Amino acid sequence: MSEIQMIVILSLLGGALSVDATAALQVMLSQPLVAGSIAGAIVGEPVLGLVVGSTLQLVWIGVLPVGAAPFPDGAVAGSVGVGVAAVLAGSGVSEGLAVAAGMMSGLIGGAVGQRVTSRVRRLNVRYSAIAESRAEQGDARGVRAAVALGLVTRFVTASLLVAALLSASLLLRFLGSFTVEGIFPTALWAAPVAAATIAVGGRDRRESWFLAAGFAAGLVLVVLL
Amino acid sequence: MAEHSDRETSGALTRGERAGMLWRSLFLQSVWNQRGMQNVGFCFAMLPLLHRCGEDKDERSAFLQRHLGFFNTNPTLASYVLGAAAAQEAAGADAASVISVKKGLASPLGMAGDALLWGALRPFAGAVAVLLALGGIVWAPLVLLVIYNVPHLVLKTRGIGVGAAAGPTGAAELLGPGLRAAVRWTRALAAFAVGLILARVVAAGGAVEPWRVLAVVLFFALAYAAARARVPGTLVAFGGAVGGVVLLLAGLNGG
Repeated sequence: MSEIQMIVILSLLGGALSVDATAALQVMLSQPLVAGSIAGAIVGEPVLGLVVGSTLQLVWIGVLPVGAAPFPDGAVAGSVGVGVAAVLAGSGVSEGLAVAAGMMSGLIGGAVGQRVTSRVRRLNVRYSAIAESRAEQGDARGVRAAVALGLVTRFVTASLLVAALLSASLLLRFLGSFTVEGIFPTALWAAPVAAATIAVGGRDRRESWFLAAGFAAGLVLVVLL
Repeated sequence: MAEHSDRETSGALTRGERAGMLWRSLFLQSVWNQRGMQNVGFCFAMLPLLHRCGEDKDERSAFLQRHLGFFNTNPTLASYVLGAAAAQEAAGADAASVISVKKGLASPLGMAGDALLWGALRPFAGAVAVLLALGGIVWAPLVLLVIYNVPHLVLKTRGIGVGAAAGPTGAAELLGPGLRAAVRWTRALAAFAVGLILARVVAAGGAVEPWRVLAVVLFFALAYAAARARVPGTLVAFGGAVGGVVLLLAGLNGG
């Protein structure tokens, strides 16, 4: 698969999965782990997709997309992150560096996607006005049109964002000139796990005990097995 | 505005109307906007009942406009509101009653649904899936989808029927101590799963190495301090990744 093909496919994927975040279905296809895994499978790097998707999933595990609260775009993050990691891995960069760059790109993609979502929501006010205007005439077509416009807008903006970020990431290939051996997964994982620990386990005494119990059980399992 | 005297009020919702509403409820947030929030999506989901207004333009206009009013609740549990509102429409209730039902249910179901689905079930599903992914299980994302979507789709499907049959009181099944217990225990299990993940990171390679523990403690302390200072989680994770890359390029290798 050429890089242009990868960018096109991942852009369409990111756009389609981003629709799941709020506009339609909401069956969690837009979650970073799911989006990243699908992206990884498409570009032929399923393990990379799992790893990058997992780090992003942990970072945003405590995000509550309620009401008007902004939230990162997990589908954009997963598509961009895995795309970047795959490009770098294919350029001879070490796996650890590729994962790190993928994670950082995904974080950027998610944050920028969050801003784009806010813009799209402002545009949706106009679509709502179309529906209301037609409704005054007893015409339901305005409602249907608004829904269609909302879905298309979401898909197009997310796709374009993924395409732009992935295209920019091609510049990262210069990192291939670094001949670094080995990976340092602990440092890469510590921050996302810390974020997850604070979100789920750090706010309530019961949760804290369960977190500690899980940690202790995990250490025992890892050492014994 | 014409009275609803010409509106078909046969009482019960048909299976086709319920199925149509259920399918359309999946697009509840398609036009989410700051002014009306889920207003367009809610109206879209109610369209299977529009035929009951016949061809009377005033009836249709009144129906559409009262369902294009401001509305926001948890998207999964919105099905209870849809069912209750649809039952009111089918029974020929006046506009004020229909709107009152919507408003009365939106807030409590919003809080209940957000706590259960976003605040508990999604983190739990995510944590379990990440734990499996760390173990190299490539179908881990499927686990996330199943854990989340079974309750999600059951509630969504059930809501229309319960709301239609029992009206506003139908949502009571979700608003009691059972829900609070479900939220607490699901979050506790999510915390346990995150603890397992933390142990997996610390003890990667089968042994608890001092330098790995030190690295985790250091990064953890920095991340915790940043979080307490209300630095966004995205920025904290980005900083951690930058730190990791710096260490990587400085030649501090690990496995």
